[in-house]
Amino acid sequence: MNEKIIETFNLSKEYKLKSGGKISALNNINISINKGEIFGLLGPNGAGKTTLVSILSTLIQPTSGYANIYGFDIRKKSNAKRIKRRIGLMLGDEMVYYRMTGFDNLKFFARIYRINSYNKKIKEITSNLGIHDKLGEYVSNYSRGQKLRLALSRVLLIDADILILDEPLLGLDPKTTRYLVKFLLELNKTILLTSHQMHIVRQLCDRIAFLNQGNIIKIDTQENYLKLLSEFIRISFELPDKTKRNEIEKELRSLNYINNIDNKKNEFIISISDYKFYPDLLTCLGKYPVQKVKEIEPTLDDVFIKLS
Amino acid sequence: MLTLKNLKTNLIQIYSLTVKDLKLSTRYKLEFVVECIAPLLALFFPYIIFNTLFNIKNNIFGGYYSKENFTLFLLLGNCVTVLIFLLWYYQDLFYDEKTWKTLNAIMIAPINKVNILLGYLIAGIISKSIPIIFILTLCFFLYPISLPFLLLSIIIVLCISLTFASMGFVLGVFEIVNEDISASLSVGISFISLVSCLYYPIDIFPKEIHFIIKLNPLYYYFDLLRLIWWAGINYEDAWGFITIYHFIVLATFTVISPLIASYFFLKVYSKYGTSGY
Repeated sequence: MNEKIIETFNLSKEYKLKSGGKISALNNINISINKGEIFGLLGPNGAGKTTLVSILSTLIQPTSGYANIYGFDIRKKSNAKRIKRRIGLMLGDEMVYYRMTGFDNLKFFARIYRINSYNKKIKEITSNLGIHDKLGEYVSNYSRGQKLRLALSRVLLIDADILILDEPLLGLDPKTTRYLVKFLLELNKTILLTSHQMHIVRQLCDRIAFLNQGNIIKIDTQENYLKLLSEFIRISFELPDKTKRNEIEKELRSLNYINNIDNKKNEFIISISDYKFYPDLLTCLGKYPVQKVKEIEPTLDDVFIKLS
Repeated sequence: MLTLKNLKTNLIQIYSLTVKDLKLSTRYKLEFVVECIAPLLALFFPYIIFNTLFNIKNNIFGGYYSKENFTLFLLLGNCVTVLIFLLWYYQDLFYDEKTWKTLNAIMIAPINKVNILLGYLIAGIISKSIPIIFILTLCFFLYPISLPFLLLSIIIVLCISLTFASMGFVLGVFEIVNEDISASLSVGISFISLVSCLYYPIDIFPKEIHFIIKLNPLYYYFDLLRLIWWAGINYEDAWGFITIYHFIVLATFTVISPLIASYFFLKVYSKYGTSGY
């Protein structure tokens, strides 16, 4: 049986507005994350991802509901130290001092986390992340990718069981992204990851929760999310000939098995509900000088748009 | 239970926090040097004004201010001004730590929050120590006193730094939870500090409002610092102005202000957390 490391029970958070009212940032959130799982938290800006992360990392308290981390209730002050030892929080490339060198940053955090023999550990982690040679420089001189690697080194140095990573790979070049994705996959840690980069989530996460306006819309595996969209088959094609575009659109709209037609310049995307309509559709398209006809694989972006 | 191992761990954490803050404040060396020198430059005009006034009449203000001691009092006032800057030191520091989100990184570490405050406190006082040592050396060079009086003066300076650091913490926590309140408090506290007879004697104010000034604990701090140093030079002239209230206020507020400030900081922070970033 999977060991549940993080569990939330009707977790809610409200903020008071200056005007006197209240705004609900999270509403009755119920999630559970298993040991060793990489759990993705997806949602548009303002969905409540950072609020949830802040509560789980003990930075703020929920208004109602509660969460258990390793069975310890986060609301109890007596549990704070036990929980804090087990959590490593990374908020993008922040939480490091730009006015200090990379090494001084890591040394400082190692000391306040009471880590023995930190020099060896720092060398090992930063060598793996490819920033060991930069450690003597001020962080303000680092590139964004190097800052992110340093921020990740800080989290790995404290050797937490649970990593909470808020937008850990935002704004990186593809090569660095690929490297860090592989690195995170090989860590074998329980990871709660928030992002709105679908390709990152797709590569990393076992399960994904969609959060919108403080509510969990759905929690499921990637495969099941994609099945959501498989009720429709989407086909794209191009029609460079301007004069024929209105004509083909009119004819397609007359076909009752076509659910949707999107047209942007010379590109058309249509949805059909079954493959049995394919021959008829191709016959119809064959009457026009269409190009690049292909079926579009559903992506998490589509799920994201559909759910949010 | 406090074991030797725990004590060692706590000391390491406090030391690390102190070193970190000192590294941050000395990152830009020239900026740091300017911050040390700038308060002394502020003495230039008061010196000219006071010198002119005392040339007109030696006992122009009444009280114990005279042509012989006003330079010393200006320097000691300047020493306190450097310590008043602790208010903005903490305000800036907590603002920076909030925006860099490093405060979050520290607060989620398994570290006693009192250690965090002690680290900030020691770093703040050390960061102001260079100009303080320089000014006190200058005072000693111009107005030499015996060791007991010097030690007593240094103790009073430490008491003043603790009190201003405490007030800095109050400003700092509001910088974290609500910058509007912090800005208003900052103006209020600096106004109170500046109308505490920092550079001038109470006698320049009309007698009717002396009781208002004497309600302000800071007045006793600054008055006592001047009087103790002056007593080291001219005991008879100064001693008559020192009262038991000076010592009672100094001792009481030096002890209670850090305690209240720490309690207030931790209460407000845990209730409201970081806001705005």
